[in-house]
Amino acid sequence: MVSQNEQTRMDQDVIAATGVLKKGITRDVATALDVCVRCGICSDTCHYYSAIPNPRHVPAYRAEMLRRLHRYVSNPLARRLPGLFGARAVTSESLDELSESAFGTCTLCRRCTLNCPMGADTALLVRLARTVSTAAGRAPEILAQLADAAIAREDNLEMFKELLVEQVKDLEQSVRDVSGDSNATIPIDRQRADILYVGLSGAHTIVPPAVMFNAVGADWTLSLFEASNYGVFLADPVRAKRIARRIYDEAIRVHAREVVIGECGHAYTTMRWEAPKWFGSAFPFRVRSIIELMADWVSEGRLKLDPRANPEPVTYHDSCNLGRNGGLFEQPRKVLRAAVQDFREMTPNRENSYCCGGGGGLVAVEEKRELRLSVGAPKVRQIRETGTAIVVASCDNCRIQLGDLNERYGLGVQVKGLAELAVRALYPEKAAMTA
Amino acid sequence: MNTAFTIVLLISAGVALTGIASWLRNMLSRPPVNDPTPESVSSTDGVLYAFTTGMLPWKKESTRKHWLDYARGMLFHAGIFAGLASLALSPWTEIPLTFRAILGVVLAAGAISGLLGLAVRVGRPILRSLSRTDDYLSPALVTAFILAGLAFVIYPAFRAGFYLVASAMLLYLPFSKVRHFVYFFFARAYFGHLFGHRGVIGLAHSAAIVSKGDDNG
Repeated sequence: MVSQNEQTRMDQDVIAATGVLKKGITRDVATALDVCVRCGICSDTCHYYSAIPNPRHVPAYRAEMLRRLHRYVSNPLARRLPGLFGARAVTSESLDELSESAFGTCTLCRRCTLNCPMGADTALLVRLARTVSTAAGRAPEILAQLADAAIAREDNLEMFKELLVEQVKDLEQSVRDVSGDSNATIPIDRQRADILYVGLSGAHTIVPPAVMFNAVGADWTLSLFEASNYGVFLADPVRAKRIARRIYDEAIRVHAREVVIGECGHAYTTMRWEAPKWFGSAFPFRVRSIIELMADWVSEGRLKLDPRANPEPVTYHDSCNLGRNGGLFEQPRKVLRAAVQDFREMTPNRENSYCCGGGGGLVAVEEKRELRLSVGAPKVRQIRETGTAIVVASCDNCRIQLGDLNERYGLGVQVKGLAELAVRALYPEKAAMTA
Repeated sequence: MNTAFTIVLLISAGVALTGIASWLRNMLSRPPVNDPTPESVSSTDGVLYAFTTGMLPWKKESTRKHWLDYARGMLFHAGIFAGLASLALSPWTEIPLTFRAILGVVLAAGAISGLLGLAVRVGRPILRSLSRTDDYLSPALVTAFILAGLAFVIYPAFRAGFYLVASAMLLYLPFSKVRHFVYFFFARAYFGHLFGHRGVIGLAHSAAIVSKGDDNG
């Protein structure tokens, strides 16, 4: 028995979801909605289906959940003949199922898009399904909390700034210990620096880049914020824009010429490819990944790496956001070839690489842990085939997932970041001491 | 008698064209894709790739793995084009024998592919789970159109029957998934633009990857 209040809330959710669904149909979405012929050829391009061959894990099936609601909302004939044309009313139940599918069984990796003979952008539809689900209050609570926490950090900036300044003193000492350079610094709030570097929460995305910034003599400053944007995982345009705006405003405030994003897949794609669309114009500063900077420094001879510091066989996992969604394929390979002795490719790689299963915010959703470890099986197979000792991933979510897969499947590998290996190769004598 | 069927066919074609125009107008009335980000490589190159080498069956893992399904789909579509060509030529009684023979072979291959496609859709649980009634009805109608075209090419006296089947297909077209052909060109263009803009695909990009000699799967 549903109470009156509960019924009212459900009705409001349906109204909100219907409104967002109607508003979210841009030309590319309209095209993706109507171009699919349900040939099913996308099925085994998806890591979910490859690991668990269930019809629900076919990309076209996921997209069809949104398509059915869309047809019901926008096509009067389909509404009258739902069985013939595949239409379903927007109800509390259909929204529950849509949300479960969009947040639980798709990492938005776009491997299916690249493999669709028609070019149907299923990830675009799943993203809209997430927007609809979020508007209907059906997003995973943890993603909403993390997005709100990022926004709250801006609201309490002075307090966080004091904390960060304290933490950075410790990190500076780590940078000096690694580099042996007693003058190495981690500047904060430095005006007119060339580079505003935006890392993640955690020393591992600040110390190795800081070592390199100091080694090459870069003119840089550390951001007060972390690059993660959980609003993107929610596909909530308001929260996503607000989180991105913090970095935009900071870059403008310090007059940075360039914003450099740490080793994080979704943060790079967000600032480089998505956020300018929300702001309606190109940013007045350049946006790059730290990977691109490192590759340039290697090419220019500014970052002199000694591969003997990393003699173990190493493979590289193409993060879906950096690679398939971001176009960064050769840059990490350039750095790796300079930093390690035995680099081995996974098969397939680059734009055809399998998602590790940790994308789309899934690593943060504890209820999905078992499923995401199961659907990491294709990546596990790829890693095993390389016979490597180290797996490099330039995305924090990928690293968490690969670490969990390592444990679950007994891969016996180490999971490292690109900057971490580069720093070892930058100071080989330190690497030898710690080996 | 033939005149009546011709009128029915023309009315049906008008309905189909009006319907397609309406869907197109609906799609184009939506907000356009506005991407102000500076491109990494070339969106134009990506679009060119999407409509040329990117459509080659060996370029995609999916079509490499499912080459038989892909080939069946290609033959089916060849049959549709042959059917449309037969329809366009049908007012003229004297179609050269060689041309009729070529059309007949393509139509036969298309019809067999259409029937096989229907059997596969019924037989494979994955496809059944994806399908609604229209997913059976649309290919069935189109296959009937191809078969009717084949019958007409063999027996030109079957023109009235061909027109009747073609009319049924054309009348249903705007409401069915057959209209995907309208969106196909837009979808490929968006696909090429998005991934070309970001430097993921492109004619030059593919060449660069191949020249590096790494196994790209």
